[in-house]
Amino acid sequence: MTASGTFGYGLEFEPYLDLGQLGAIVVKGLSLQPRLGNPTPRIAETPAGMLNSIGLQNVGIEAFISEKLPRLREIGTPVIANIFGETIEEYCAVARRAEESGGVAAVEANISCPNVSKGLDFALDPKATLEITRALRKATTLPLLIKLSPNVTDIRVIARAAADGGADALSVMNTVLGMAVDVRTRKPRLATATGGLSGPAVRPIALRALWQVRQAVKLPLIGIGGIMTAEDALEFLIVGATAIQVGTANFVDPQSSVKILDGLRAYCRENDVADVNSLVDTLQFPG
Amino acid sequence: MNGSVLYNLSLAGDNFLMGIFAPELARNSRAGQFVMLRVSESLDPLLRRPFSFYSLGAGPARKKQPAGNPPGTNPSAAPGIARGTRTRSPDSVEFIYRVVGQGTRIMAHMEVGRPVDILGPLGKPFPLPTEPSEIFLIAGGIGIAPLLVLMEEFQQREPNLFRKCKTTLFFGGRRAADIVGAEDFQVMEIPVRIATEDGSLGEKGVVTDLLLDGESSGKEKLPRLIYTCGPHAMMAAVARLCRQWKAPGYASLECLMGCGFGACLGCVVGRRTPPGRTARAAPSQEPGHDGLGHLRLRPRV
Repeated sequence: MTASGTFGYGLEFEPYLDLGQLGAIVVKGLSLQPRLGNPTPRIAETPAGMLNSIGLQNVGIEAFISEKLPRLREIGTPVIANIFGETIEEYCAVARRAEESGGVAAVEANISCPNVSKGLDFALDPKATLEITRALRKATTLPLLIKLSPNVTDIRVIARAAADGGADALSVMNTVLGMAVDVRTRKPRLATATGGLSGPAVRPIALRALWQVRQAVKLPLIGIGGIMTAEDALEFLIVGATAIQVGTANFVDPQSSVKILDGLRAYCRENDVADVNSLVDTLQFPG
Repeated sequence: MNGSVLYNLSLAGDNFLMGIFAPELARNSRAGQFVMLRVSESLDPLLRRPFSFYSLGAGPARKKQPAGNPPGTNPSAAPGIARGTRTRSPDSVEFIYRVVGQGTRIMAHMEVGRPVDILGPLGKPFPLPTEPSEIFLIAGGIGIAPLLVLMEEFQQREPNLFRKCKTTLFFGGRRAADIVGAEDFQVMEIPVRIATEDGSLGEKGVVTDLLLDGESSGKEKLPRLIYTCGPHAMMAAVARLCRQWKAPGYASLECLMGCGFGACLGCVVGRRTPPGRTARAAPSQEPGHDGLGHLRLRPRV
């Protein structure tokens, strides 16, 4: 599937690939009201990665349902609505509207965007994670994915809280909080100073986070973080992800996601793997 | 798609002119559009770089074909690199770029024949003039790029209308070395007026100063039409002129871009628009369009 925030509403990519080939399209984070996002510069390139502070610019859940969803339904690929709000009530309202639309297969709650923090990063506190997960669990009967942040002391504690709250699966992970400075102007390279680091630079962090969460909970896990190739995706499957999301790679090559799928098929053929699922959670320890 | 480097010529200052063999792109692109080039197969730099077309295809017939490298070319730059000579064809596209960072440094070292990974054409084309007009082309530095391809396309598609327009290029930079490509306009018999901030070429000052004395001098008053590309401060001044003249204008915006096709929303312009400013642009959500499309500078009427 495609990672939220890197694939627009999916339709931006129609000229480049057959969206029908994807396992799911995770759309850009949706809020109750449209949002304009943060001031520019919003992106900065760093070694093997990029910082972003887009600020969750989006058309809002209602415009998404009326303007984007009809075409997405025609394509038929499951649509996962990534949602966020400023309060638990807002999260729940967006989740309810997503379910009522009839065209959304699951909800992925972004409880950890580093760019709109107002002291309510639910994912940084196990109690807040438990509370919002429980509320969302009541608000929707759709499969509920909770997207975790790596910017925590111990991600296992947060993962357990989300599991206890009734999450159906966990998305591991969101971006890593980072910063870059232009030494000539001494200004931060993002208008908001800090932003979320993504791309291959964060892949080892994502893999570690996934590995730790694998130890902590029994839920299905979705691996996210710097996946550019089929080989990168395999790392996540072997460590315990049952699915993966492709993010920043979509910007570099809009066909990345389907190329990774082709690569996984080729790997399975060449290595006599009948079902890619048989690779999941097969990490071999040395000795 | 893949293209290959035909020539990669060092111009004045840190500027370069790159010709790429890309037949599909040369035929299917329009003035004002751009491409995202992947300059390295490694993960660093990771993202593609946006470049506006400077020319598409062979270009208009020239009265005097410039022989070999264009004027201003620095033949002694970067010895040892096969740079080629400027030879436009129906299958070629050209870009002008300035070395400012890691990506453009890599480009400056690309040799003839090297394959280039291209995503495009992207963005919205410039609308062409539709009536006899007094056309002001206002460029800052390598902001010259989309204006040449615009005029060539206009001349090619509407030769009669092109002749009926009174077109002038106003070209500004910090110093003489920022002024590259002016000769390609002279070939089309478009007069060029130059301003540099240090006074090393043309008049001393900023390019929009050249326009302040610009009451229409022609016998028959033609409606004014503005096309601009350059630094944001310059284009903001141009936007003010558009309002003052009650003239329509189109701007090609330069900004940091992550993807080039409207997915990352890194390139948006228009947020925090100062009160009273009518110039606005936001990335279109339509496929293939994004924030580098053309800012419509509306006259305030």
